[in-house]
Amino acid sequence: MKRILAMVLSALLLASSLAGCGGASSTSGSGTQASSTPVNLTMMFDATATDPTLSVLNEVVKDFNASNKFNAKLTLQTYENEQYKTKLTTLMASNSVPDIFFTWELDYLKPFVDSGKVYEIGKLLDQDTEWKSSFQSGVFDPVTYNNKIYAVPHAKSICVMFYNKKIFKDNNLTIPTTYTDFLKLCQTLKNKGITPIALAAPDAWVPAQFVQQITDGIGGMKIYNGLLDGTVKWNNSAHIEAGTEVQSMVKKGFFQDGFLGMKSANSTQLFMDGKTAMYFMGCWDIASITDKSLSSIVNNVGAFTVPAKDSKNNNILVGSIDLSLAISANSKNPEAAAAFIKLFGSEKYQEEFLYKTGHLPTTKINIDKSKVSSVTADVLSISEKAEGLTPWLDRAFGAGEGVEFNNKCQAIFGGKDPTEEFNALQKFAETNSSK
Amino acid sequence: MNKVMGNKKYIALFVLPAFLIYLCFLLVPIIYNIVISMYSTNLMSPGTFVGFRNYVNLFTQDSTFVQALGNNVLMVIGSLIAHMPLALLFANILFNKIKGGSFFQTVFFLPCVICGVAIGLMWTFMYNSQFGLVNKLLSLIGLGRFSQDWLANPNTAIFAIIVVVMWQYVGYHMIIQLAAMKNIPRSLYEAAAIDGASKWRQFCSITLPLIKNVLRIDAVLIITGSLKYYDLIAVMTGGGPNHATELLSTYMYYQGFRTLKYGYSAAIGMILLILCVLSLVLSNMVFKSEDVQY
Amino acid sequence: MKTKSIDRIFLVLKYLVLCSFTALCLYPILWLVINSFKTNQELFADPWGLSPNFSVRNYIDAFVEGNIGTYFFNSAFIAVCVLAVGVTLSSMASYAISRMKWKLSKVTLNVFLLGMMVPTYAIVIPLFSTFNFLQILNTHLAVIIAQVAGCFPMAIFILTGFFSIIPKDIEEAAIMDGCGMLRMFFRIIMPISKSSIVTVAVITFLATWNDLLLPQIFLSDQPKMTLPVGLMACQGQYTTNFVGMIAAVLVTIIPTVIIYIFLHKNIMEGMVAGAVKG
Repeated sequence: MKRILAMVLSALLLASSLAGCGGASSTSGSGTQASSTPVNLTMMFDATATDPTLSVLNEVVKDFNASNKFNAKLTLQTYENEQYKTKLTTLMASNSVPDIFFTWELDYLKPFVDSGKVYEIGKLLDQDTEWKSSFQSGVFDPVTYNNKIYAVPHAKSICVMFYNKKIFKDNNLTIPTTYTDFLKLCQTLKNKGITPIALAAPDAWVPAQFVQQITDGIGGMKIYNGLLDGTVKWNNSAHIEAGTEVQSMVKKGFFQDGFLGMKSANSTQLFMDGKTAMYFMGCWDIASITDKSLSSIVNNVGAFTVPAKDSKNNNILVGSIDLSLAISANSKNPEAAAAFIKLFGSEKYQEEFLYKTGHLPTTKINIDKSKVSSVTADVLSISEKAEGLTPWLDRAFGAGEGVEFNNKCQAIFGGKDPTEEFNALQKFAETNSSK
Repeated sequence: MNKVMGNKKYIALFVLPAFLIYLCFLLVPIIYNIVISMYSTNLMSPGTFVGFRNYVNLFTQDSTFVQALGNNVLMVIGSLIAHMPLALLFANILFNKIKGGSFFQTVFFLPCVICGVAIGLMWTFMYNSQFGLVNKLLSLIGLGRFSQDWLANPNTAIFAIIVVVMWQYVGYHMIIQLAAMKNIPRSLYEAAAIDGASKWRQFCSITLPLIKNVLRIDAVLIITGSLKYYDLIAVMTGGGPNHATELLSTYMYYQGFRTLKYGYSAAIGMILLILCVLSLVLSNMVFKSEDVQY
Repeated sequence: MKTKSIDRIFLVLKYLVLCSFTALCLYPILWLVINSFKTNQELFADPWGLSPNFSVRNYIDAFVEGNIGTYFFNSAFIAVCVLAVGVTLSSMASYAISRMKWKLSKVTLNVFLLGMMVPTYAIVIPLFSTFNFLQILNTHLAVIIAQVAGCFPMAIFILTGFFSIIPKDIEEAAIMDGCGMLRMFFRIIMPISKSSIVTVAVITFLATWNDLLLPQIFLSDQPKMTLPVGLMACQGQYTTNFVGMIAAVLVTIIPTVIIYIFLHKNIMEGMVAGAVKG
């Protein structure tokens, strides 16, 4: 008796869980009932409580909730980075992603798009040509899958070398224009007892983006493009050369003491406290660096591009898009959600993001250079001069080769042989595809 | 009597609630896990059946998995070496009635009731290269040249964590062994003392053989325990740097909830299950002994 | 005379060993306490001594910004639920298995004991997908169910051992007096097995209270998180505020330590009993 019961029960459970595994089909409702009854929207965003981006975001939410033609109320949920990724994954699997969610581009969003979890916002963009045409060309490329747009990016981000103007001035240093100059500059600083560069190795993507930048300077766009279409191997000579370069910088002590174990936020703090001359990071850190409560060098920061080892690649940068928002496929009110996203990307807030947090706009707005901080101005001009952007490899290649690339770069910073590490990465890449 | 104790209704009432929960949320999931582990699925779109390919790939193509497996073995060996002798030493000292014994017991046992995440964080502070105690202590006793980023250095990270594991659980194993010792009749020792046997002799020929059974159980606890470590690693290193502290548990979490390879992740879970069973069988064989009579 | 001095040397050695490990156990916690009253700058400048400007600012931060209070409540709620359900059901099942007369009792026991070898990792993916299907992901219920199911093997392992040594006379006398099964179990058997039940309760409580993996996977909203998950979240969120984290860790530890000071006998007996009796 009990056995039969047990068997029936287990069979039921198995069937039910398999069905859950198969994924119930997403239901995207119509948003017609919108304007009369109040619509509740939820949005989840990747930010910590102290994130300056959040203050602007809160303004947008307040503005949206005060009046919009859908009579919609948007609730904002924020999560810290790691938490955010876990949360989004969980919600994706259980088909309960909030109406609007922050996302990264390229390989991060891809599995969700492939599984039909993301609303094709391109449809709404096409209907609203004024909205779509406000964006600069090419910014939708990293969020386009099968020629369909699935998210709207609201910032461009590039990696730059921030520098402390005061330290440079006090020591009669100028921005380096060649790679040799750059190394010389670091050596000079080092000789004077000033730590040249702040960098934190424990978050593997931080050392990785530096290696990627040096690689860009050696091999140019063809390395990135080749990796994408499979014509260039991960253990290509540019990667290995970049690894060797970085390692010699480590040996010369160009990075702060203890950088191998120092948390990312702490190395940022070192630079903001004026204790290192330079700091290599994505331009999103402008927000913190120019925040008076966090930084003591607010008015003394500039930015430049790390000069390429092969000077013809001088303006090729690690960079991509940022602040991308997407709508969930099971949102009952995609139009209302889109209205919020449109407001988020409106001229007013693109300006606020630029002037207050230093996010480079993705729309075609007229920039009032007098309103931007000097470092933002530097970054803007770097961005304008950029001849090519190579997106972060962990975004382009995702959790497989992308993350492994980060790990290998971290290991190289830690003293492992670049050739061996990149050979291992190539081997990993060859076998990873079959997993 | 037999009528009451054999009443089917009561038996069902007593056993079924627990059994059904256990069945649905522990036994069936294991079977379901075997099923998932043969699929390639991200739980969002229908998966594809791949048979044993996940398992084959784990061992033939995934160097990170092999590394994690190696780290797990290292953890097991490290924990055995770190726990067993030290716990036995403490237990034996405390067994021979010493003043303040119960105080020491209480203190030694304390760390293992504290949650692993808190302990992990605490030791992250201890190992911190800027203000951490470990480095400060080293330079204080003139070994400053050894100070480093213990958790960031791939060569030291796993050992740094084994130390924490030892710190946390030595008291637990000590108490287990001590309890076993206390079950030994005092008369045996008295007789031995009369025969002029030294303390060491008494330890070797009375204590050790009589607690052998418990030592076996303790060994199984240590082994399965160290196969299952998760929270310390998750807090302290997240499996890094460059997988140096990656364990099967953290790797499984990563593959499942970060890269969405649920099938692959389930296969890692199965390997963990097999290892736990194996360790039990193995230690049964190693410590095989006849029942001890007091 | 000679043996006495050797004994004395041994005694000193013994105390030396014991005291140094005591210091090793307690000092890190004391160190946390000392530094929890400092500012970050003071911590970096001097991690040893007390701060001249005593401030409970970090504790306020831990509660206000770190939500430690909420996490604490969630942890307690889940642990108490698991405890109540798990201990009741497992003692009933153990009693039926060890005392009642039925053919499959041995088999059932072995099936339960099988679970002791199952690491949580072997079932998280299926549970995740099952709870997803049942739509109880991100609820405390999911964690409670999983923890209850997980506590049975160990609990039944310990309890069957205890129940099997209860003298038959007690039951016989009770039945002679016309006591029903339920009454006998709850009024006679449970009270005389108090020690073993406390044992099981303590193990279950600690396992639930300290667990990271299950709540980490099942709970993703900050207001629902348990202490371990919440601490992980804090660590990601306030990376530079070391002193704040130190205070948060202490707030997590202190209640456990206080409970431990009062109940350490039971806790120790509890956590060890399973191993020794086995």
